[in-house]
Order: sequence, then structure tokens, then C-alpha cells
Amino acid sequence: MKKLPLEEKVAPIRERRTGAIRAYMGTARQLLADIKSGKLKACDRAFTNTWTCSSSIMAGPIRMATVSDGVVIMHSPMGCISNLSQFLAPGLQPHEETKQDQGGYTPNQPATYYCSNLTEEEVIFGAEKKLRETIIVADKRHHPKSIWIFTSCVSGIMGDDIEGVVKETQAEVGATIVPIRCEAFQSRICQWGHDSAGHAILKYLVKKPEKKRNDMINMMASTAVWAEDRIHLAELLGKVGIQCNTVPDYAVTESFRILSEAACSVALCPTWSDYLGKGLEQEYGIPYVRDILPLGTARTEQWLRKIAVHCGKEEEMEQLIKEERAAVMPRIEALRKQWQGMKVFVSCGITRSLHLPHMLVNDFGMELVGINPFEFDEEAIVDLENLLKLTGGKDFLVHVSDCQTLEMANYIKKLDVDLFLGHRGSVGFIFKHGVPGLRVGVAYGSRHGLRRDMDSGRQMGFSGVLSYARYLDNVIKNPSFSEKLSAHTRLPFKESWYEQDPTVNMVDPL
Amino acid sequence: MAREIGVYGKGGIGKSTIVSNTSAAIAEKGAKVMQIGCDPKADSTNSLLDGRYIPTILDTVLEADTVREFRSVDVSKVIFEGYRGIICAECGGPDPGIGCAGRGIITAIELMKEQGAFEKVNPDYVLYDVLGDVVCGGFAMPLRQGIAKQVYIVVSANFASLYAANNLCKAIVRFGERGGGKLAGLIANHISTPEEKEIVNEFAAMTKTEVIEYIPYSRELARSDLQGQTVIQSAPDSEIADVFRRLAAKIAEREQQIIPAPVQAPELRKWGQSCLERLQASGIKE
Repeated sequence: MKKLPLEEKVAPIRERRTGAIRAYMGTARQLLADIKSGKLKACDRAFTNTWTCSSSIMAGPIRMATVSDGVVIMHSPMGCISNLSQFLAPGLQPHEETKQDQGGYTPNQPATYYCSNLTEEEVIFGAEKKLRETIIVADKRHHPKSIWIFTSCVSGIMGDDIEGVVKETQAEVGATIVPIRCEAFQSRICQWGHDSAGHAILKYLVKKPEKKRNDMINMMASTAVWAEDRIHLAELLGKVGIQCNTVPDYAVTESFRILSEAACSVALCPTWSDYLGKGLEQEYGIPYVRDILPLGTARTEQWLRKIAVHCGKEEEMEQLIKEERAAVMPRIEALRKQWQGMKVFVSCGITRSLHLPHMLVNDFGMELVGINPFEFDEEAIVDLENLLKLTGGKDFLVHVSDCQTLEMANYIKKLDVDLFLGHRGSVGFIFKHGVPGLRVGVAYGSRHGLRRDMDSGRQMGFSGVLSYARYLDNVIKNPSFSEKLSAHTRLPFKESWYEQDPTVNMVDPL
Repeated sequence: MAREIGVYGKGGIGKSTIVSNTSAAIAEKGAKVMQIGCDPKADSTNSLLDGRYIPTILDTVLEADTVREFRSVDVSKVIFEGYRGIICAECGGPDPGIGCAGRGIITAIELMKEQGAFEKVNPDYVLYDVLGDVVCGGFAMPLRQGIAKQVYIVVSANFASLYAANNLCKAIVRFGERGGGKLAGLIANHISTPEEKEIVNEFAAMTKTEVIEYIPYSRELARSDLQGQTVIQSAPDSEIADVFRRLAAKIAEREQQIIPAPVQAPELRKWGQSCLERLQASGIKE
């Protein structure tokens, strides 16, 4: 493993650190061969349907605004923070249940965020003073435990000395200031923002361990892994006396400080936790579990066993696995009979596109025809190899794209898909093509596109398999939603597009 | 219609001295001249104002309390009358090491235009004295369409200044294609020996440019700078004053548009070496 340069101000961009790509079209085998031989071609786009900002979205003003005793400051013109108000406009109450999860948030507590709102004058003359004032005001008003500063392209071009301001101001405020340097224009991989956040957390928040705790693990889960899953896993581990220190969403500042004391770190979203997990391993020797996610019964078992080894709870865990399995396996067997051979396509971030198929294939007997991860990198090679083992070596389509609906529309009908599971950014267009499916993933305030009940999206752990199955069952039995939608929708693509090569816009790295 | 002239060149080469003295020489002939310093250090017009430092455009806008007021600065506060009625203005900018000076130049010049400063002054000549090299887009502002139509580059026989001039030519070619400023010629400064003259001439020949005037080292010039005046004012009968009068006359009439042929850095280095060899062979004495 390459050493993470924590002495630097900025995390290295993902392209450089993990060889990340944002475009690819081919089969799993081809991708593995290409990436291993270093002969990746056409892994960027000359034309793109979608894009997001490394700093204002991915690095996490959205994420860190959920830290209940923290305040977010975006050091930028007003526009950079607009995403945040959009995401958090409904407030945080939909996630009030996370109160149990973290002990932090109270229902209806608003997210607290500031924008330094850079003006033309400040861009010319520098805005270090304004940033300093914003920090002091935020500290005085809210008495937070942490203040998260996010930089922007503008502050980067101006060259404001953010770390200098932090150093100068830290003594005057009660909160720990965490500057996250992420000038979005630096990288073509927006997930680089996750690394920027991890870099700053490691540098500014994580404290030296006072003690090593065998009864606590770090559960690293971005919002895409929603509260019900996190709560369920925490309860499950709680049964054998293991506590979960969950970061980043809805955590409290102390959760970040004590990351160094855990028995191990587990990634529920390996894309988010890649940098932080490895950093904790590098700096404090905390084992980082990233290859196995608790999706599907077999993987949940492996996941629990791995944690048990790190916590010294093997016996208790075997008992727990036995009990949990007994409760769910008979019902899963029944489902497998119904769904055997159903052709499924998964389009989502790394977590679900590379790990959810374990449930779909292993537990439900479905056939994986393709995946659409948002990005792919050297870290994910092992995940893809595991998927090939899962399908018994049967190859499948890999389309690396961050919800590029234009490209997906092109091939989805030709693929003969029975069930499409996708992110909210892509499912709409797929449904409009008459392909039945479900939205995977949840966003703040909008819980789920189709159902709003609490249990609908849960997937992880043993009971998560059943919960998700119930949800899938609805759409498999009644695909009329996509049928009706496609019958009454005029699609924006010309017929000629469907005959073209979907990779026309893919180019060698820019 | 004012003749708008941009003067570029490596930092410390004497641009402000040349521009101020040229402005003074043009004004002496009775024309209305405006000189705008495009450098945060704001000392371009100093010797036209008897050594006085004037408030800059950006200093003045700093007084604005609101964004609305920021763009509605009163231009009369930022333009000052200097020697022979030359209208002086300085863009100004942030303190060293902070903020974005390039953006400052963009804003200052846009402001002058928006606020009708040029209509109000109605000059025959506008001379922009621009910071060192074109370090970023902001300092290229006077090169862009509709601002400085003619560009002069100040060079000396110093290789680093020729290197900078070569780079400037690259920027001029780029902006010239879009209808921006065109190169009118090179002004050679500190040329006191035949060898120095030969070096800049060779450079001009290689880059297909042209040296329009050679300015020798001059004690009067150095003294007038110390005094905070131009030689036109402090030593009007000196030889050097006549050099500037000659330069002013050429600039006033010059219509040529040069498309320079800048070279890549290694090629320039190679030229430097061969230039030295030729000089040694030709036996030009200092």
C-alpha cells in the first residue's frame, strides 16, 4: 500500500492515488485485464450527461452538516453552497431515528452551515480575514465541537492560506477547526472529495488513542448507507457486545476523535472510507476491512466473522450467526425458487454495484447481466474478481459511468434485463424505457422515490435481505409502473442513437 | 478615437520609466494622454506626478460598503492630472502574497470602462503600463479585444528579458487571433554598446519583430527617476529627452501590425549560444 501523505496540505487526487477512472465499457474480464496491464483506453468522457462537485458535494458539506455538534463553513462564493441548501432543505428530521444510532441528533434540529459568500472585492484582496471572522462568529453563536471548513475553486485560485488562518484562529475558539482542502478543478474523479475529508479528519481530528478498545469498531458509512441499515448492524453487533462508532453522517465530533481506539474499521461504503480507513491503518495500526460488505447472507456471515476475529468474540458471533440464519434462511430459500434465473442489472456506487450482487445472485438465485459502478479503480479489482467468482466465472457487462443516462439508454433494451436496480440519477430514464426496476439509494429528505415507509430500503445484515426481498417482490409481481410510464412517455433520444455505439463519447484520460 | 497602447516587458526592465517619459513627450506636443498603471504596486505614474503616489482604483472601491456600491465608484476620485495634463490612474491591488491581483486588473479596467472614464477624459492616447510578464489571465486584460490595440514590448540585451519577451509574443499571437492587441514593436532599453544593440537586433530578426527605438543608459534618466519626474520635465534639453521625443513621435504615427514568431524555450537557448558565437567571431567591441 502506498503511504498516504498526511504531512501534505491536500490529499493526492484519486486518479493518481488509486488509478481511478470514470468511464469504461466492456466486460468484467476485459476491464480486469485492461486495468492490470495498464492498457486502459477510453476511460474518460468528451461529453458528459452528469457531473458533480468534489468539494461542495462529495467532500461533504452535506455530510459534515449532519455532525450534530459541528458547524460547516464553505469558503466560496454563494453558489458553491447551493447544493447543500437543496439537499438539506427538508431539514434533518427524516433521520431522527439516527438519534438512537449516534446519540447525537435530535429531531428537527437544523443543519448549521455558513458560506463565506466571497464578493468580487474579497476575491481581489483576499478573504482570509473574512474566513477568520466567520469561524469566530460560528464558534460564538453555536459553541460547536468542530468547525469544518471547505475550500472552493475560487479560494484555491486566490491562494488564501487556509491552514494559516486555522493555525492563527484555533487558540481563540473552543471548536476544533478542520480545514478540508478540495479545489474541485484538480480532479476528474469527484470521489476525490471523500479523500480530502478523510485527509483532514486524520490530520486535525483523530487523537492519539488513550486506550485500545476491543469492544468497539469504526463503521464507516456515508449517507448512501441509510440509517435503518446502520441501526440494524449496530444492534446486531451490540448483541455480542460490540459497539459501533459510526462516521461520518450523523456522528458527533467525539466519534471522529476516537477513531484511533477501535478494534478495526469496516467500510460500508468503500468509496467514502478508502482514505480514512487506510489512514487509520497506517497511523494507528487499525485493521481496515473493505472487501466484504454485509450484503447477502453469506457475505454478512463473513463480515461478522471478520469483525469477531478483530474483537476476540468468535464464539459469541458463531452463536449469533446461527440464530440469525435460522430466522431468515427458510424464507430466503422460498424466494430463490421464485426468482431463479431472473436477469438483474445494478447501477450504483461501488458499494452496491460491486457488493449488492452477492445478495441477488447468492440468496435470490438471480443472474447478473451487468453492473454500472460510478467509478472504478485499482482498489476495486478484488471486488470485481469476487463478483466473477460469484457468477461462476460467467462474464457480465461493466459500464463505468456516473449516471450517464444517454449511454445507459442506448444499451439497456438490448440487454434483456428483467430487473434494474439503480441510483436515483439513472432509474427514471430506465423505467421510461419500460424496464422494470427499483431505485437503490436514498437521499436526504426524500427517503425513497417510490415508497416512504421506514423499512423499504433496508438491505444489510440478515434481516436486511428479507426486508429488501419484500421490496423487490412488489415490483417483480407488479411491473406496471415502468410499463405504464414507458407507454406514456416520449423519450428525448433519437432512434438513431440506439443504433450507435454507446461509447462514442468515451475518450482516453483527459 | 484614442490610440490605445499596452507596454509589457520583464519586471524591473524600466517599463514605467519608458512609459512615463513617452507619455510626457507625447503630451509635450499638445496631445491629451492618459496613463494607466496595471500593477498592484501602483507606481507607474509616479514620475508624472512629481513623485506623488495616488489612491488606486481598487483602493477607492474598497471604500464601498456594499456590492452595489463596489461597481459604482466615482471615477473622478481615481484619475489625477499630472505633468502637462496627463491623466494618471493606477489599478492597484492587494498586498503582496494575498488575494488575486490578476482579477484586480480585470475589475479595475472594467470599472473604468463601465464608469465612462475614457469618455470623460476623451484622451488622444491611452498608455497601459502592465506588470512584468503576462503571469495570468488578469494581466492579459489590456491585450484583450477592445482594450490596448497596439502592444510594445520593452527588452534589453539581457537574456532573461528576451526570454520574457518571447513568452509575451506567444500571448500576443494568441490574443491577436481573437482580434486582441497587435504587436507594434520592441523598445530596447539600456542599450549603450554595439554588442547590446546587436543582441536585441538578432532577437528581433529571429522572432520576426522589429526594434523601434534604442534607449541608452542615461544618468539624467536615473536622476529624474530619483527626483520623481520625467526627463522631459527635469532635463528637457538632454540627449535622452530627445530619444523619448523620437520614440513618442514613432509611437504616435506607427500603424504596423507585427505577427511575431515566438520560439520554444530550447530553441531560444540555442539561439543565445549561437548569438554569442557570432558576436565573438565578428569582433564587435564593447
